[in-house]
Amino acid sequence: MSRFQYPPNIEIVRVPCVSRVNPLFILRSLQHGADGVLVAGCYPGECNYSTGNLYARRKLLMLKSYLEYLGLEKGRFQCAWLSSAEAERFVKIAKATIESVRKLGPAKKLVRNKFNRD
Amino acid sequence: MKVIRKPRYVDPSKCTGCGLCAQYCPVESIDSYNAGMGIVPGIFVEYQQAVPLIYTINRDVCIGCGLCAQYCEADAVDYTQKERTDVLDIGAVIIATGTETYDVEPLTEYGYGRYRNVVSSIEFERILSASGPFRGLVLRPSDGVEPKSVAFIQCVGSRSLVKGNEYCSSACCMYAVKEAVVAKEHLHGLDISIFFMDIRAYGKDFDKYVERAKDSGVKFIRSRVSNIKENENTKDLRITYESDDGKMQTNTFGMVVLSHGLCTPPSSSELAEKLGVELDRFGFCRTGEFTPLETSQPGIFVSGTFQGPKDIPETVMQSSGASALSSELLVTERGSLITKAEYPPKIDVMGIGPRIGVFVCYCGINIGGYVDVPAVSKYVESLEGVVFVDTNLFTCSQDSQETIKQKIIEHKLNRVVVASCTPRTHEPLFQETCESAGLNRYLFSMANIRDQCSWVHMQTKEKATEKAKDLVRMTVAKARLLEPLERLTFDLTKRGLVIGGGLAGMTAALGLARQGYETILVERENELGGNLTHIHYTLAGEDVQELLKSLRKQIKDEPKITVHMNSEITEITGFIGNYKTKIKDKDTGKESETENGIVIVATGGKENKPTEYLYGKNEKVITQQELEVKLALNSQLSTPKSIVMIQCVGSRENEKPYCSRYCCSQAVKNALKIKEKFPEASVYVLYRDIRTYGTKEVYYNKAREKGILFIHYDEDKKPIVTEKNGVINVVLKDPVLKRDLSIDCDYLVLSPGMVPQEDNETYAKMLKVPLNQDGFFLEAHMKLRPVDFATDGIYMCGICHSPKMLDESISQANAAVSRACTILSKDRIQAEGTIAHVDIYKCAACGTCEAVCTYGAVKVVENETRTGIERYAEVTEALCKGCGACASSCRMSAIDIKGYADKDIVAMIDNF
Repeated sequence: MSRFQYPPNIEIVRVPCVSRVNPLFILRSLQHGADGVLVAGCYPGECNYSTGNLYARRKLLMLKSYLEYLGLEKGRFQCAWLSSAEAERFVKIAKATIESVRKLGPAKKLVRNKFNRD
Repeated sequence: MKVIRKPRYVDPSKCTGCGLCAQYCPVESIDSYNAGMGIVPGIFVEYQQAVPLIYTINRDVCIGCGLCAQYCEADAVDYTQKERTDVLDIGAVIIATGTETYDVEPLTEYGYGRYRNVVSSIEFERILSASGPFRGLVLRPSDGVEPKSVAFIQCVGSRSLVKGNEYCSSACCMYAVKEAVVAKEHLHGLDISIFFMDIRAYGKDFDKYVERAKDSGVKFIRSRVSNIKENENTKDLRITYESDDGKMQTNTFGMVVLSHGLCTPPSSSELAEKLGVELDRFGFCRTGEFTPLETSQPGIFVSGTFQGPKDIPETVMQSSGASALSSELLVTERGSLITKAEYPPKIDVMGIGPRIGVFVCYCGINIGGYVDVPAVSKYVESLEGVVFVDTNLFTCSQDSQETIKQKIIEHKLNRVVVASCTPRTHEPLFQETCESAGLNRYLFSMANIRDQCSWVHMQTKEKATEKAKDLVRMTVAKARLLEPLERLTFDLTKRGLVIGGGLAGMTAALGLARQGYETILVERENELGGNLTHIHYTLAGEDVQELLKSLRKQIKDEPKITVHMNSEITEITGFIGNYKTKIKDKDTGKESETENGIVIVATGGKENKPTEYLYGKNEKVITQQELEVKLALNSQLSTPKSIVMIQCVGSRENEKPYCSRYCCSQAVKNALKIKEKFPEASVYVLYRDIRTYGTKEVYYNKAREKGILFIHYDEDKKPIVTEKNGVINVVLKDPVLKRDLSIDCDYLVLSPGMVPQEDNETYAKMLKVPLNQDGFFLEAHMKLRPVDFATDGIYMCGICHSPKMLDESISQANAAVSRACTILSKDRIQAEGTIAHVDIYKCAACGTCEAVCTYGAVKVVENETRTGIERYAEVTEALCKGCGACASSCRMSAIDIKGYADKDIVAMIDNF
C-alpha cells in the first residue's frame, strides 16, 4: 500500500511463520547462487503463533555466527524483526541489506560448482 | 429494526483497492485516523491494513470532478449511490459503540490548542506509529525537531470534581506508560516524566510493565500539574509542580502529552434513547453489578467502554460475553441462516503429471503499468509443466472466476497459479474458484507481482518485469510439487466440563446449559460458591449472598448440569472435541469417567494469609475478608473508635509483584460500611496507590467526603505496627504534614491480595497449558485473547486468570461460554489443511517438536508397530496451526508441513 520503492534484486519466498525457516534453506540459497539472504520476522513478542519467532531468532542467530565462523562474510546473511505495518522500515532494511551485499560482491563461499563464478 | 446505511459512492463488489483513484483525486481532507495530523485524498481508505480494502468518497470535500470515476479501471465509482434504509429481522442487539476521548481544549490551563507542542495522547500515539504522520519519528509539531524531554500529564479530564469527569478513565495510566516506553525505544536518551496522582496499573501483569518502564529510566512524579507555560522563542514548555519534599519545582520540557480520559459522545445518548436503554449519570450504559452485560431493555446487551471505561482485555471479554447472552436468546434459531456450499466431485489428480494453468493479472494499470504482462505470460509458457497461460485485466473479478473455472475443465488443469496481488486478501477467493471447478483448494498457489514487484519497482520497469518472471517461475516450481490436501474432520462430544464451582464456574456452567449443552461442573469443596461465600455486599450495596443462593438454586434446577462436589480431576486426555476426564470423589475415592468436548478452567484463587503486621499474633489484626464477615454479622464487631487499614500487604513487592486489583475497592467498601454502622469511628486507609478505577472512583470520593482519611506511604517507608498493653499502634510518615503520625487503633485491617489456588499447577500440567510467573493461567494473548489458551478447546475465566471484581468474573465466564460454543455448535471439528506431518521411520523421538509447539499439537507417543514397540512424534491434526516451528527444528527432517513442505520451499529457492 505504501509503495515505497526499493531495488528489484530481492526475491521473496513466503512462509507461514519465520519459525518455518529451516537453517538449511539459508544454506541452500547460498549454495544456489544467492549473494545474500534476509530473513524477516515479526517483532519478538508479537508472533501470530505466540512464540515461533523466538525459536527462529535463537536458531537463526546461531546459524549466523556459525556461517561467519565458516568464513562467510558478515552481512551476507541477515535477520530483521519488524511489523507488517512498517513499510518504510522494510524498505530501509531491504536497501541496507542489498547495499551491504553489493559491497561484498558476488558470493564465493558455499556456492556449488556449477554456480561458482571463479 | 431499521438501519441506515450511508453510501460509500464506490461499489464494494467492484473496487479492487488498487488506489489509483486516490492518486488522481485533486482534493484533500484532514486525516482523522492520524488524529488530524495528516491529510488524505477525498477518496480514501481509513488505514493501510483495512480489510476489505474498499475506497470511500468523502462527499464533504468531494467536488464531483469525476477524475476518480474516469481513472477507475474496475468501474467501481458510483456517484449516484443513495443512503439506504435496511429493515432487519433480529432477535438480539449488542451495543458496542464505545466512547470518545475527552476534549481537552476547554481546559485552558494546559494550553492545548494554543501551544503546538502540547499534544493529546492520541496524537502522540500516531506520532509514534510507523504509519503515522512522521513515519514513527518522535518529532515536535512546532518545528519538526526531536524533543529532548517529554512530560505526560495524567488524569486530564478525569478524576476531577471541578473540571471534567469524576470517574477514572481506567486506560490512561497504562497507555501513557506504553507510549513512554515506545518513545524511548524510538528515541534513545529521551527524558520522560509522567506526572500522576495514582498509577493505576491494576490489570494483569501491568505492574511489571510499569517497573520495566522505571528501569528503562521513565520518571514517575506524584503531583498534579496546575499549569503549563510556553517559552515563546524556543516553544519549550515550563511545568511548575510541587515535588515530594513539598517544594515548588519548575522543569522545562520539549513536549507535553495530555493523557485525556474517555467520555461518552452525544450520539450514544441519542442511540440509547432510540433503543430505550437507560444511561447512568455519566452517560454510560446502566448495567447491574451482577448483570454487567445486560441493559435495562431485555434482549439488548452492551459491551466495551460504552458500559464504563475499561482496558482492552475487559472489552474483549465483555464482547464475547455479550455474544453468548445474545445467542442464548436465539438458541432455537442456531444455524438457520447458513447455506451450505455445494461443490462438484473432486478431480482425481493422482498419477497425472502437473498440468499448470497460470493467470497473470494486469490489475488495471497497477501491474500492467510497470510490468510487461504479455512478456511475463509469454515467458511463463516456456516453464515446465505449464499447459495454459492467460492474462486478465482483473483476475479477481467475477467473470474472471468463471473463466478460470472453464479453463480448469477445458484444459484439464490440475494446478492453478495466479500472478497478481497479495494472497492475504485474495487467496481464499481463488481457492474457492478452484474448489468450484472440482480442484482441491491446495492445488493453488499465488505469486504476488503487485505488492512485491510492480508497486515497489515503478522506476525500473525492465527490472520489474524480470523480477515478475522470477516470482512466477518460483511459484510454478512450487506448484509442480503441490499435492491435494484434505481438511480432516473429527467427531465431537457436545458436552462441556467446567473446573471450579465459584462465581465464574457457576456462571459458565449455567451459560453452557442455556446454550443447550450438557455440562459437568467439578468443585473441590463440599458446597458451590468459592469466594462468594465470604462476600456479603458490593460497593454499590448489592446483596452477594442473595446472588449465591440464586445461583445455587439455578444450578440445582438445571437438568443439563451434573455437579461433582468434593471432587477432583485426576486425568484429562484427548484433544479439542474429544476429551476423556476422570473425576475422583474425595470422600469415597470412587472414580468416574466422562467424555467432553471442551474444558473451561475456573479454579479461582483465595485471599493471601499475611505474615506481617502482627497478623496471627493479635486477634485485632484481621484481613479485609475477615472484616467483611464481621461487619455483615453485626454481633461480631464491638463498637470501634478507630480502625486502620493497610493496603498492598505482601502485595506489589518482591514475592508477589502483582496488584490484586480488587483490594482498594474492597477497602473503600468496608470503610464506608464502618462509617455507616459506626459514624463516630475514625477510619484511616494507608495506601501506595488508590486503584478505584472506572466509576468506582465515585465511592473513593464518597469515602473521603465521609471523613475517611487516605494516607499515602512508599514501598520503602512502610508503616510500623507495635502492640502495647493490648493497644495496636501504627506509625508512619505523613507525606503532607512531613512528620511521623502515630495512630492507636481498635482494629488493624490488612489487604493481603489474592493468590492462585495450589491446584492450578496440577491442572496446568494435566491440560498442558502454561501459568504465568505468579501462578495464574496464561492466556493466548494478553490483550486480544484473554479467555483462550493457545491450545484450542480450553478456556479460562474468573480469578484463575487474574484477580478481578465480581462483574468482571461474570463477563469473563460468559465470554468463556461464547468461546466454547464456537466449538460445541459445530457438527464436526475441522482441522487445517496445511499442517504438520511426521514420517515415523525418520523420527528419533527426541521430543524437540513437542517442546517448541505452542499448541500442544505434537507429542512423542509409544505405539506398537510391525517392528515392535516404537516411539515417535504424533500430530494431533485438530490442534495444529501449521506454523512450522516443529519442522524447522527437527534434526532428522522427519516432520514437515503439508503445503509448505521442505521440498516446496527448496523448489522455490532453487528456481529463484
